[in-house]
Order: sequence, then C-alpha cells, then structure tokens
Amino acid sequence: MKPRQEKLDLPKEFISDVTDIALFVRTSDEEVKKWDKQKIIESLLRETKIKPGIAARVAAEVERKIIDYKIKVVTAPLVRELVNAELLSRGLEKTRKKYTRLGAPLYDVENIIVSQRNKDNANVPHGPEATNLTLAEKIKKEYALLNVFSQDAADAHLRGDIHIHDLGMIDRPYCCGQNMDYIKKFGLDCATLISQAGPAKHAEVLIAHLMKFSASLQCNFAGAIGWDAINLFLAPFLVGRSKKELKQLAQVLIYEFNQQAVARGGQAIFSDINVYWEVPKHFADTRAIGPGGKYTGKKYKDYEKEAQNFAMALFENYLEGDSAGRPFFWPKPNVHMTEKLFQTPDHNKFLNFISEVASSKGNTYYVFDRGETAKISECCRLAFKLGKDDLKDAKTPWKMRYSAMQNITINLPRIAYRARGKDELLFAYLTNLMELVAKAHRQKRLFIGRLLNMGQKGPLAFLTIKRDGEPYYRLHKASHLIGMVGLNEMIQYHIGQELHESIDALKFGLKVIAHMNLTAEKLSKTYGLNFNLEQSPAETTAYRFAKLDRREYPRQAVKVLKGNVSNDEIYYTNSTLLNLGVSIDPIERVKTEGIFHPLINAGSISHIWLGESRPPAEGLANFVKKTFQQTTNDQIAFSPEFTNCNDCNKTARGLKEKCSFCGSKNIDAITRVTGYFSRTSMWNKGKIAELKDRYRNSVDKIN
Amino acid sequence: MKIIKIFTQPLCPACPPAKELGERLKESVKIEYFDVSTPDGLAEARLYNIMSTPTLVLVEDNKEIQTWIGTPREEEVKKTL
Repeated sequence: MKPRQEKLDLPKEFISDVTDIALFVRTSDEEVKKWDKQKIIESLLRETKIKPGIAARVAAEVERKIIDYKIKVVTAPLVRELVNAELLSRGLEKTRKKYTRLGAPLYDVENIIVSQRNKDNANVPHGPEATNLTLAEKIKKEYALLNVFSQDAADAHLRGDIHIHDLGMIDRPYCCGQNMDYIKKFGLDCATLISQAGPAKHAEVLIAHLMKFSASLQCNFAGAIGWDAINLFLAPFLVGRSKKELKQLAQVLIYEFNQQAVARGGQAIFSDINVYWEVPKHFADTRAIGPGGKYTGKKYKDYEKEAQNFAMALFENYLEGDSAGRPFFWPKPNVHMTEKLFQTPDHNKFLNFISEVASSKGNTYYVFDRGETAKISECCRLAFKLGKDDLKDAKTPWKMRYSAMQNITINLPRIAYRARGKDELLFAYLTNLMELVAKAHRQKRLFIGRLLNMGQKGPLAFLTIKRDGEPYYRLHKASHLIGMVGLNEMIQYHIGQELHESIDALKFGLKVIAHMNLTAEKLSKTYGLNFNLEQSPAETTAYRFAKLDRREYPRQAVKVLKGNVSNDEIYYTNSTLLNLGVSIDPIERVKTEGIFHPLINAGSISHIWLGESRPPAEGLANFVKKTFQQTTNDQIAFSPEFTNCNDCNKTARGLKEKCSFCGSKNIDAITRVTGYFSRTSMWNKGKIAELKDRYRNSVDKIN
Repeated sequence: MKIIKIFTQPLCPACPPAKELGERLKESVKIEYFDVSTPDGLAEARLYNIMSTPTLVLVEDNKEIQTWIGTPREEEVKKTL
C-alpha cells in the first residue's frame, strides 16, 4: 500500500523537515537510515488514520525523548514502543492498538531457537524448521487475536472461557478430507509447484503424487489431511501385482508419510487413511478411474479383491512397525466397520488381523458406520458424515472434498464454577458462550473468504484451483466445529458426582450435551452455516483450561482438577470422556461413553488403554463386534505403550525406567497422546499427568 | 414400578396418536412424556437409544422391558403390562 500523501497544516515548530541531530535508525527493512521524524508521522497516518496534527505532536515528543534519553542505538521497534507509549499517554488507546508491533521478546526468541520444545503439539520436533514455524505462529496468533476476531471473542480466548484452536495458522482452514480420484483424474496440479504432472500411469507414481499432494494440503490447512477409502481407490492400479509387490507399495506409502520431517515446520503430515474391507455401498457402482486418468470400463465393486489385498498389505507393514520395531505414527488407518463388512467373505480373517495389529502396535482405529451412515474419518476423531448430496457425489468421487473451517472449544468446568449450582445459570452461560463461539467462527470464515476471493493471486491460491468447475476448497461444505472440554469436571462440580458415579450425573451430562447439540442446530439455522459438535482433541486445551482455572478459580477448581495440583501437572478430562483413572469394565466404558456420541455429529472416540498387556487378537475382534452391535460408540482405539532405546535402538512393550535390553536410561516412551502416537517427552505437563492416571486394562477384560 | 416413557417431538405428524394412547393408558400405568426437541427429552432419549419418534419404552425398576417404535395397539401394550 502506498503511504497516504497529505499536505499537513501544522504549527511552525513541527514543520522543520529533518532534525539536525546525528541519529540513525536501524529499520525493519534491514537498513540504517538517518533519523527523520517525518517517517513517524507518515506511518501513523498510514496505519492509524490519526489526525495529522496529533501525529506531528506525537512524533515531536518521541524525538524529544530520544534526544533527552541520549539513546545510542535507535531501532524501529524502540521508536514504535515510544510512539505507543506517547499515544497511551494521550488516551489514544484505539490508535495504539492499530499501531501495535507484533513479535516476540528477545528472551523468548532465544528460548524458542535454542532450547524450548513446542509442547503445544507433540507432532512438532525441535529444529530450525520447527522454530520457524513456532515463531511464525506466534506472530500470526497475535495478528488473529488483534485483527481477525472481535475483542469479545479474543478476550474470551485469552481468559480461557473458550479456546480458538490453531490461531497461529489463522490464514488456513482447519483440516480436510478428500478422495484420491481427484489426483487420479487431474494429476498433480498445485499452484505452488513449478511443474505440473498429468494423471499417474503407475501405482508408484500415484503414491508419489499422493504424498506431494498431501504435503501441499498440509501447507494450506492447519491440521489433519484425510483420504477416503484409500485401498479401494488405489485398486485399479494394482491389478496383477503380486502380494510381495503390494507389501512393498504399502511400505512406501507408510514410510513416506512418516518420514516427511522435511515438510512444514519439520512436522510429519498429520495424515489419515480410511480403509474398507468391503466395497462400501456408495462406491460400489461408481465408474473406476485407472492409469492415465481414464475410466477402466469397470466399477469399483469389481476391484474388491485388489482392495482387500492392499488393505492386508498395509496392515502387514503396521504389524512389523519401523526398522526399530516402533509403531508407525502416520498415517492413521481408520478401518470402517459396517453391516456390509460383517456379510463380506473373509471378514473374520481381516478383523482378526487388524486386531492383532491393534494389540501389538495399536495402529488400528475402528470406525463404526451403523445403518446408512457413511463418513470420512480423520484427525483425532473428526468425521465428515456424508449426507444425501454427498452420496450423490460418490458417483464422481473427485468432488468429495470436505473441510472443517475452524475448531473452537468451550471450557465446561468454568461454566459450572460461575453458575454456583444453579441450573438456569449454567445453561444460560453455556448458550451465551456458544453464541460467542458462532460469532468467532463467522469472523474466521469471513477472513478466509477474503483470502479465497483473491483467487490465484492470493495466499490460498492452491485452494482456489478449479479443475472440476468449482474451487478445490468447497466453502459451502465447510463445517464449523464446537468442542467441549471437561464435561466430567463440570458435572462433578455442579452436582457433586462424576459421570460414572451415578445415573443422575450421567443424565445431567447428557442434558448438557443435548443442550449443546440443539443450540448448534439452532445456530446453524440462524446463520446458514454448519455448526457441529466435536470432541476436540484438546491436546493442549485440557491442560490450558486447567491451568487458567487453577489461577482464576482456585477454590472451585481444586475440587475437581485431575492430576497433581502441587506440581502443576493438572488437566481436565477431555470432552465427554469418563474419568480416565477409574477402573471401569472396558465394554461398559465404551457403552457409556458411546451414549454421548450420536449427539456429537462431527466425531467422537473411546480409548482403551492397554499398557503392557497384549490381549489376543480374537478377544479384541470380539470386543469390536460387541461394540458395533451393542453400543452407539462412534470409534474406538486400543493403545499399548512402548519404550524405545536410543542406544541399542530396540523397542520393548510398556513404559520402562530403563531399556529392557541394554539397561540404558537413554530411552523414549511412546504411546497415544490424544488420537495419535508420539513420544511422551514431547508432551505437555497436563498430558503427562493424564498418562500417569490412565487406567490400563488387563487382558482378561477385553474379549 | 412400571413406567411408560413416550418420546415425541412437536413437528412429528405420527406423534399425536402416541400421546393419545398415553392418555388412555394413564389409569393403568404411570406415563412420562419426553419432547426430544428439548435438552431433557433428548438426553432421556439417548439413555434408551431412541432414534425416531414416536417411540414408547416400558421401564420397570429402571430396567428397559419393551420398546415400541411407532404407536403400538392399546391391547398390545396392555398385554405386555
């Protein structure tokens, strides 16, 4: 933007163009320039629309101070700080806000670069790329709170009433789920790539395209990248391939996703692949796209055998783990359990095999699609449920591109503290917060809409590419997620019992989530947007809310906080989960937690912590069948624990004090943090406390 | 004690007959009505995994004895009671 040129009508003493002081300024443009107070006036006029006379007075006063203080090194940030102080002294707070400089204190930057791991996300390593990401996120976070969200929403976030996720990635939507037919049909066409590739002709190339496309998506979304029915859509490329070749291809795919530590921020892509044993009904009669982007003349139902063989090949690799025997962290395999699955030949063989992987390495996620439900699963538990229109799109799968624009989580225990035992107040506060959340969602959407409207010249060019008549990012399909943390502690404070302790507590918990569900529906109608409840992963949020409430509501919070209050290892129970530390029969836990799931449209999960125990595959498979038939649970995962030795590079079952093989204490503990595997050394204090509390189920309980 | 829980919602055209049946049965069994478009009703519906309206659930000592999806015949309910 060009500086505004204005003729200034100023008092004589302010007109002197350049002072005669021999002062130089280290500017933000990496230059040393001679002091010129006119620059202050120009920037104030450009950035804040302040009256010219006031700008001149402020500049003159700042100049006077710089001279009086005998400052030897004048930098642009210092000048701005002095200008801001001067604006404040004149009561010009709004003007100061516009003139704010975003950034970080030297001390913080040193810490981030040299020693501090990013504990907000256990999937971010420590390295130059990662600290670039952290520093950039820091500035974008400040920008978001100042310039994208209104003050009431920003303040609610800062206070800890709500948590606006991924503020450091304000200029991207949250996450996405899509279908490989897009790449198969259109090839690799990313706005940011120098060359463009046509549709792949070989499976190896298709997998390479998938990886590049996923990495490009990672650069345009804050979170998870999900792929639907991956084994089925790869199948037309796998005809005639031997089992050995399939295993190799599956290995390439899995390793590629795990070793993308060269991608954004040195961060492996948070990736999900949806896997089906059967050909799902909605894809059965869809025309299959094969090599070269051409129709093969067959339907996808004709590729069941190849799809099944590739599914087995994927899980053979998951079972082996990496070269040190560690579980693969990515991509998360979400296996869909449907009525049709249980009628498909050899389903028992498959179910037992993926359950062996679940018991041994923990990778398998079981996603339950009962009745006519169909969905794309991803992130820690997010699900894009397919409506009638989406199922029509299943005939042209490349159109199936879904996204969540943003996720905002509500601090439920704090509502209970404020309601002081009064139901009416509790529901009134909850409604008010949900309205504020809807407002913040609309503000984010407006901002992203602005960037998308810039088309190919804008920062989200990749998402505006139109290969099938509409932009890659289908804004009208975007979902706006409303999460919740600490239902258990909210109920515990409000009625004196935890969710698992009485039917009254459970009923009240259901009433809260039912209220949220109905309010989200009402907000959707009011604003014409899709507001959906989701069990937020809350990797950081469950700790952040706990910490803030410990400070702001110490008397109340101390009664319900989980973890160890004395050493700040505290947390709230995530979303609608039952207390993680109590011994509850696992099928009862899955059943009770599952009662909430149909009210949470955008995804839920129950975890069964295994610890060291390693139940037989048949027992797990049986447990999964029972969960499908006897509960309304959306998704389950079994989580074992591992200790990996950094010296002898061997992996043992369970969390150990030292390596079981060589005795070294240079070890890493590995288990599931919220919805994915990671090293516990990268976890925040709240998650460490949760890990200590988790009740590990014994083998005999799972069958 | 036996209770029949009747789950309905205002815009459901098939629901009035279920409510009328409840009125006819109230002399012989305790009847509780739940509107699933309210938080209380929706929460109760989740406890019994109610997926459509109208649905009637016969409960005895907090145990689910019988569920009728749609409005059953009066004689059928009386026979079960």
